[in-house]
Amino acid sequence: MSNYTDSYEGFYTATGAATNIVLPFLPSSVEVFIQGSGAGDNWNSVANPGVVKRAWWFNGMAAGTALAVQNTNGAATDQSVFLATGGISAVEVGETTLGPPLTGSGISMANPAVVTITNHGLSTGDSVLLEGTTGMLQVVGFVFQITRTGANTFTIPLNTSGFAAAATAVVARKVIYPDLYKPSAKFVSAITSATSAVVTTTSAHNFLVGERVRLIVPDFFGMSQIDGVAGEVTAITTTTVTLDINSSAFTAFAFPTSGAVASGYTQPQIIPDSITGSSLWPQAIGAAYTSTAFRGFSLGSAVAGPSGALVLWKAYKDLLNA
Amino acid sequence: MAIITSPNTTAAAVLHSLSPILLEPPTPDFNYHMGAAHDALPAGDGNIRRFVKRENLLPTTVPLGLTEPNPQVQRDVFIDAEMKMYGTSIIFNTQVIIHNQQPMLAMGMESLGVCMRQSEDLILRQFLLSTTGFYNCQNGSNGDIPTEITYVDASVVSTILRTANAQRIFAGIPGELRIGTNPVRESYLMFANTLLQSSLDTIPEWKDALNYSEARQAGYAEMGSLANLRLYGSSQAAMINGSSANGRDVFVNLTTGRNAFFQISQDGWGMKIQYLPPEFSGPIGLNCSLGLSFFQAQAVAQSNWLIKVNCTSKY
Repeated sequence: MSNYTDSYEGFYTATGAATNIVLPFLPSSVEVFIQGSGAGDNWNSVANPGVVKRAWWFNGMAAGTALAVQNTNGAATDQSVFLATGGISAVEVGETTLGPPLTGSGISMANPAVVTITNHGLSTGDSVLLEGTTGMLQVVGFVFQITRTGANTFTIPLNTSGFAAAATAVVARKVIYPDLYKPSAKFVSAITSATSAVVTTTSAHNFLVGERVRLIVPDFFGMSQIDGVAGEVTAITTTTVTLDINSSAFTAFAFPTSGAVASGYTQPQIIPDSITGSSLWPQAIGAAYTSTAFRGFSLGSAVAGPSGALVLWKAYKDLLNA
Repeated sequence: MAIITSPNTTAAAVLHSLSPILLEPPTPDFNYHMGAAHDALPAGDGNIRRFVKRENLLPTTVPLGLTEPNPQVQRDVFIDAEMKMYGTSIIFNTQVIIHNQQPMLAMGMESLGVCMRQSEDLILRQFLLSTTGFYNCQNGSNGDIPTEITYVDASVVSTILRTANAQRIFAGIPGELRIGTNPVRESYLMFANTLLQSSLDTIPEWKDALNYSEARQAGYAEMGSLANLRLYGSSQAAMINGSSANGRDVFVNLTTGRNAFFQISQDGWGMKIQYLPPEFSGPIGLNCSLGLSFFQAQAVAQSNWLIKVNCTSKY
């Protein structure tokens, strides 16, 4: 209680998606400056008309809102706007929650499958839980990391072209802060039959090479021989894990039909088991069970900056009103 | 002398008398820590607690001949958990404290204590939700994915744990000659949401804790037993609103064997209470503070000895 205000600042290069900033406190106000490229093109109406240049949020404003300044479309004139969505929120995140249900008209038979929901408001990289489908029940209960393809559509990383029929209704719910602990369990969309099985997850995983994982594969998905088997991770990409499990003689992994799972089923999963199977004393501290729960603030898609933009943020904590 | 002309609008005299009975705030049962094995990170030993697990050697079932067989390789696996610090505080204005110090501090301390116990349980809950595998109940009749829990589902879950060699947490309770009571099997521990009660009551094989042959062996929060599971209920047991196929709430009933997961504390710290008197708060000593902090880490020791059993309600 020796000072009255704490403040932090920092900058990052935007990816075009919403961003979380971790702070040692819950901020009472936040301001953001979005520069654009090194030449400051975000402040040039010709280069980036209509893009937010500065934004503010303070205690008392609703979460996800912001006061902002942006260029008027097509003119080098500042315009003050109130953003009702996609703005700034102070966040203290200790638990995973779901967003409101978004009701849509279906899921296509395609690779990747296209989900249609009018004005879904989701961004690339968001994780969504699918439920409430009419048909295509074999995707119900999965969490997928999506790619936004438009205001009313997004794709999920799953090949549904071989399914019997498209879904004619769907409900999607955003999984907010899905990875508050690492390593964490993930859904599986494919496993290869190979001397070193390659497991594909439906969203970015946080496993590391050297870690040991266990697979849960119910009979519905073929490859029941691998159910309960643990193996060591030998290689990774964002959504694949290569294991030292020889699955070449196993039954092929395949999604069941919608009718087969109509009376209930459990989805295939990959879960953490231990950090290594090596007999040496490992140094892989990165694979320790760790809480990634955080406090700080989140910048929504409207104020996080366009891809490649340099963004400066400042956050303040007013101790008098804490 | 004043004349009261409109008695209907004159307020009656109000006297305040504070009851000495302190009303209870609604506090859920904190069950998750009960299923955890407990360990402590020694002071000065860094911030990572490491566990080592020996893998079984292959049994030797072939008689020895004249030459020695090749030795086996002893494999160890390791499990690490990173310690984190948690805490919160409340501030009292000196003007309050100076008039009524002891009761105010005692009430503040009580609130902090409950907050901390709730925090450690919620941390464990979120950790287990994030890191363990699940089973969807599928033998019910409500037409949802997952369905409501049934005796068959409970039996399947018990079988999965038993087949993975998970040790049961509870010993069996033998039957006795008491009307309306039943023996209870050796059981695993399931953390259930109290909202499941109405579904459980419709299962013919459901055994309420009061119907145990020795009801006094039931735990405080124990709801009853189903197959080889004993259910401990709490209103803060995990539940995901509206996430079933048909939009029902999904109850995530973590079920565990013995020593399946660890709750790790910092040795020599515990839950530390810190009282900062007003004279340390600033130039004029306006406020005092009461804080509580603790360290906690958690680890899954046996990934196949605990399962989240997802179900919906029957109605």
